[in-house]
Amino acid sequence: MEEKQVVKLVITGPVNAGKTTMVQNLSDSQIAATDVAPSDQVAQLKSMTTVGLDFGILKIDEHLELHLFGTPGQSRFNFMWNILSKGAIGAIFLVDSTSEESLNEMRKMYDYYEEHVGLPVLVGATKQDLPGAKDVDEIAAILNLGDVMVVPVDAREKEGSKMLALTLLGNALVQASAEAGEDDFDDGDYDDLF
Amino acid sequence: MNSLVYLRRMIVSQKPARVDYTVGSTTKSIYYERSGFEGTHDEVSRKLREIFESRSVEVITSSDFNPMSNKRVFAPQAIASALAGYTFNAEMRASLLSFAMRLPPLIVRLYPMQRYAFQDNSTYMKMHMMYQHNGSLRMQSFISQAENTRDEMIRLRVLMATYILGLIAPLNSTGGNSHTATREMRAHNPDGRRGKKVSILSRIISRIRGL
Repeated sequence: MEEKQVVKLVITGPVNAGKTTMVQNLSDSQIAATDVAPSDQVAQLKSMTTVGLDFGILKIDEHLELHLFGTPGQSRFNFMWNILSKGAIGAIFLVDSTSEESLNEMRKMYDYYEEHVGLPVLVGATKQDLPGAKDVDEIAAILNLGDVMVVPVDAREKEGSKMLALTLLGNALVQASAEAGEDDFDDGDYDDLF
Repeated sequence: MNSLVYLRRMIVSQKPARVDYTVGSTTKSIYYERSGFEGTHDEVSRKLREIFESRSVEVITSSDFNPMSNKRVFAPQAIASALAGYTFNAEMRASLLSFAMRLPPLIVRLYPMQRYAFQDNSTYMKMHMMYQHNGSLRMQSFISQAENTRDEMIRLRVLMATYILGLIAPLNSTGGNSHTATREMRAHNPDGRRGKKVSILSRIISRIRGL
């Protein structure tokens, strides 16, 4: 009997950016959400916040499941990457476009990620419809993201969550496809365009 | 359009290489290493344009090259610069159109080309949206939807940039629209760890599209 394979998709970023909603949007069913009333400055932003992690499952087919992890939005939880990155296909960072604090926290989280993780990554800029929202180019410049794309997204909308996940997965797919073809580089056969 | 094929393979492989190409009766070269082309911005742009139009291009890979200078232009920036305002004659256009017709259904990677001053970025975004909407991109359709001659030229430049930089890849080779059993066989092939990753990603993409 064939074993079921599990791959992970991590959705992370500063607090109050829409991670829990995105996990819900992409899961068949949400298995766990560890929301509690915050006791720190997060209480000024929202009534409930994630302290453990959000977890959802999307069944792909009989042999494959995608496990979605929404991780807490504070950089002090960075240590969790050691566990989450094993078997992960990539990570989506969500950042609140209207909040300087969110961008500062994101910078710390992303620095850690870049140094210690290095999976395919995409940044979703939420709350683009609100006054004072920074545009995606400003956000990319502030965060010094290099080649990482910043995409505007409404995390409340299922279509927005799908678009973000599909963009990350499409990028990872092109990269994997290119790597798979790389071994043929010196074979002298250029009939094939790829 | 062999030059595009050679450039793509060289850039995707990320190995040090020298491109030898012929302009008229003169053979010229450009070095590539550390993801960049050797030379100043202007030199690299000019040479890349010559390569696009050269009938004879050869890529030699080796780690023993002795580049003349330390100046490098990062590949996306070099390609964006070479294609800025690039126009082509009827022969080149015909070659590019013929090349586009040969391309299979594609997947498109989203990459921040605007950060490298890619002038045709908005058309590249349209291409990515077309891919997102349909789950694959038919380059033939993308080109044929051009509103006028100028728009067609822009779309052909986007084809060149995305192809050379490895931002498009065939959907079929990933198993994206092949039969499930075939995909599973590919996924279970012990030789194909990368192929397996590609298969997994393709299956997840199909599932999320259907949500």
